[in-house]
Amino acid sequence: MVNFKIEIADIVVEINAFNETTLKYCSDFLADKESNYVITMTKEDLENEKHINEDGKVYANEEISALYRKIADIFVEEDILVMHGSSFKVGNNAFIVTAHSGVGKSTHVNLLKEYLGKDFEYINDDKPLLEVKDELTLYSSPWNGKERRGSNNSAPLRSIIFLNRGLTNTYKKLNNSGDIYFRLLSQIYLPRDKAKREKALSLIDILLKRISFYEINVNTDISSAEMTSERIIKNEIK
Amino acid sequence: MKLNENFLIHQSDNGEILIPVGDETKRFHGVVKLNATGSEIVHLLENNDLSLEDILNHFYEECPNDDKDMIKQGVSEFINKLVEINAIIL
Repeated sequence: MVNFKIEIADIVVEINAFNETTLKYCSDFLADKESNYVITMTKEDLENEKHINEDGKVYANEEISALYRKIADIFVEEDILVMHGSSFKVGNNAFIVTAHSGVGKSTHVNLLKEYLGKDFEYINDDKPLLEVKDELTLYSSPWNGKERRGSNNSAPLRSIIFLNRGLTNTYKKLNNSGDIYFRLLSQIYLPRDKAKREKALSLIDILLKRISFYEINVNTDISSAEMTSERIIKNEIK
Repeated sequence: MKLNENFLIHQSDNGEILIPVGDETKRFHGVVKLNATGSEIVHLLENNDLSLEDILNHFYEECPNDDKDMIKQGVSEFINKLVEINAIIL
């Protein structure tokens, strides 16, 4: 077994893993502090992951995926949700662009990086963590997508942007909380355990009331990043 | 029939939803949005083992002026959908 500690969202987790690659994957988050939780990976965890992956998802390393699920299950008890989306900060303001896999969120956020230049900083390109307490704080995690875009940082969350592919670039602020709710449900990790799933749903209820939500339809031209930056980001950080 | 214990009724500002938990999440990946009638049905089946007739009688009594055939059709269709996703166990 490989033993190491990581600190994510100010929580220290001691991990007993099978593979050195898991330690390497988490290397930006290593910590030498007293742990809040201990996770010991089991053969069953890895087998379960293979079963989960049968529905289309392919992961290079089952242990890395299994560890993600174990941490997500623990963190919901700490009022932390695992989001699916590409996240970044502008100054001390965090944003998440979310969509189903393959729609183009990473492409759009990369265009935002190009457009915003030094004002832009990646938080996490795949699975950022959202702490739902007095403030909504977005944290990075080791699970930062196939391009490994992200760093160990955080910022208060300002908005969540739902992205669709489009021929032209349009945006709108979403006001229908029912519509937003169902979109969010498909972009947030919901634990299988009944009590934990209920907790995650209650955190989503709080999230809905606290920030603004937008929908964008974007092409892959830099003008799409200009629209998101000028019409949404700058409006939210005024 | 009863509501499967591996389905959770969650109340939010946006109304109620029915969502799988535990092993049922492997079979059904969606969420059921409940209207007023749907909500009443799942709550009736949450703690009681009832027949279709019991549920229909509940609505016939609650809505004496409504068309019984319409009630039967609406309730039956909803229950069939929940049976299909294993949210109701016969």
